[in-house]
Amino acid sequence: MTSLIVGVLLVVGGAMLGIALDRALLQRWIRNRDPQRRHRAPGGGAHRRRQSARRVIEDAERRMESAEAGQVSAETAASRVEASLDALEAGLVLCDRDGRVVAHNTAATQFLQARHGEALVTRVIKELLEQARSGEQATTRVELHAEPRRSYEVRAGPVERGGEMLGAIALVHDITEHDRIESVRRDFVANVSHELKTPIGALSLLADSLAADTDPEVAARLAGRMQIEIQRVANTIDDLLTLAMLEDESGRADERVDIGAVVAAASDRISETAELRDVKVVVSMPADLAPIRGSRLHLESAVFNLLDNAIKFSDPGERVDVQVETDRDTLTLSVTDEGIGIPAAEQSRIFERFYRVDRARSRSTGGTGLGLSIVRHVALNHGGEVSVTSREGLGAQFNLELPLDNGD
Amino acid sequence: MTEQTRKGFHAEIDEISDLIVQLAARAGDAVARATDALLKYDLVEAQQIIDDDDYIDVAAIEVEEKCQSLLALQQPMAGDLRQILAAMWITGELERTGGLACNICKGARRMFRTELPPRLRGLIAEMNEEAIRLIRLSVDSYSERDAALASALHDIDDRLDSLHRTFVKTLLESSRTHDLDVQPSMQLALIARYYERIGDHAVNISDRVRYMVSGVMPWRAGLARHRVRDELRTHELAADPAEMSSDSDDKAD
Repeated sequence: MTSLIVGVLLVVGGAMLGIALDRALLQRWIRNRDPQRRHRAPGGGAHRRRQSARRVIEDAERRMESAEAGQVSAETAASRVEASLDALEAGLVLCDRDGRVVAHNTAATQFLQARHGEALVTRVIKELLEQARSGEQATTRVELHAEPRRSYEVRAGPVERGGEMLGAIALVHDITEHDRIESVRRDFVANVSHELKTPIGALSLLADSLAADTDPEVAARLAGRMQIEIQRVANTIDDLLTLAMLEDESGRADERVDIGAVVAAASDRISETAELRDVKVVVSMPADLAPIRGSRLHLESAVFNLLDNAIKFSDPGERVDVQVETDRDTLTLSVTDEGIGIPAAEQSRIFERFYRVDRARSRSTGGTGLGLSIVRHVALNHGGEVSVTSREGLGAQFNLELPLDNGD
Repeated sequence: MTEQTRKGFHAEIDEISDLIVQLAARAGDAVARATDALLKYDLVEAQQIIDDDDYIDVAAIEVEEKCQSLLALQQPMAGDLRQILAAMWITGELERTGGLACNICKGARRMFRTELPPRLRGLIAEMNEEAIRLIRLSVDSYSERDAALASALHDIDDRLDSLHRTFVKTLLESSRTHDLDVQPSMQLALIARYYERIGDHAVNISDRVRYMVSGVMPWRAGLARHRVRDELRTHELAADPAEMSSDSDDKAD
């Protein structure tokens, strides 16, 4: 059984090491061998016999040395292979011909000793190994729905050498992040075309109606609608440009920014919207705050977007709290609302461009779907981060954390 | 029989406990999936969960049959016997948990097209998390044979019970403020009850774990109380035989 483990480890390891192996090294090795072969050809008589005897001895010695070295190098190679398998992110499980698990790497331990959701992966590994032992390749995806949500891909295949079945190998990949990125990409394409096409489609219809209608009253109404749609596109383009600038980072100014002034300016800008929706914005922050290094304009835009978002998802009569707190080197600005809240599954996605929790509602609130992406980019550009905690029906709290400029 | 002897009794028992862990993982995942389907109004997924419940049933039967054959062929005693009995009971609880996940899906189906008020959605998400936490803790207590953790589950379950009460209260308010119809209101009340039941099944599992580890039978507390009451009553009756007739009248009501 040990020989099987070592054998299979060597096969797998060999394949991995093979990629890294320098071809030049191989060539040098072949070149070194050639002169030895040529030595054997010349010479004659007693001298030649003596020489050949010495050569035999030398040869034997060399062979013994290389045999010992070979053994040592096989051992180091095996342990090296083992170490590299442990370094793999993917879980690897090997079973022998009878289906007994004979080896696994560190990453696979969590599945073989799994107790909660991951126990489902254990089951799939066993099923696929079973299939692989009968000679077929098999792949299955496993999705775990309880928090923390994860997705795994399990692949299994037979391990053979010279037509002899040695066992089967299973690989487990955590594809959660891969899936997330994939859905971000997919949704972005869908959402961006939706956001840009909807107002354009509306404009085209309105323009058609306008062209066909002669009644000035109707024309005025249609023109008014067109202005709304144009404003919508203009807002989207503005926000997209802001995002592009933020991503570029070229617009980042290196000034000392007083966050108190930033919050005051942002809440001043939002006050009209807040009044219109009958939402009260309450600001509380300590008197003298240490400054932040960065761009005043961008920080103001971030705070404005947080407030705008909070007000949009609040019902009339509710309040939005803005609080600024500092510890030794971090400033935390939190915006808390009492609105509808965000479902747990969506919380990680709301900072994506154009991502909407509820499309139907977002159209009536009139946002661009880019506000929170802007907030995140500003946070990242300032070496900080933004996070959210929320329970549906109990509002949401956004925390913007920024490093303070302590003068060092 | 040959397989039995080859694998050895304790290897068989270990296998049963692995199967139970996997069954619990499936049941817990079904609850989480059902909650997703409910909150995303996803009827296709709901149907899929109902179909997939057959896997849970099959897995439960697999454990039961293994237990039965061990009982029949090995005639285990003491701790070994308790372990097998506990496994059979726990399997039943997990199978019911899977069944309740299906009930949640069926509820989702019956109230399709009803937009749920945000607060109720939040409470459903919370009940889901709490129910899954209880399942996980009960499995932990089983795998680690941790009787102390198992006894704590009764108290831990209080949170789910109180969430259930809050949910019903909020539901009554919402049916006025959000104009919920009778049918969805009723389904929501039932769904909340299903989560609460899932928690109870986890507590039942923990009771069986306590039995498995120490031999106590927490579920017999009611029986013990009944016996004491019975005994007291016989004493009272012996003292005053006239009570007898009025007592039987009460029972007839």
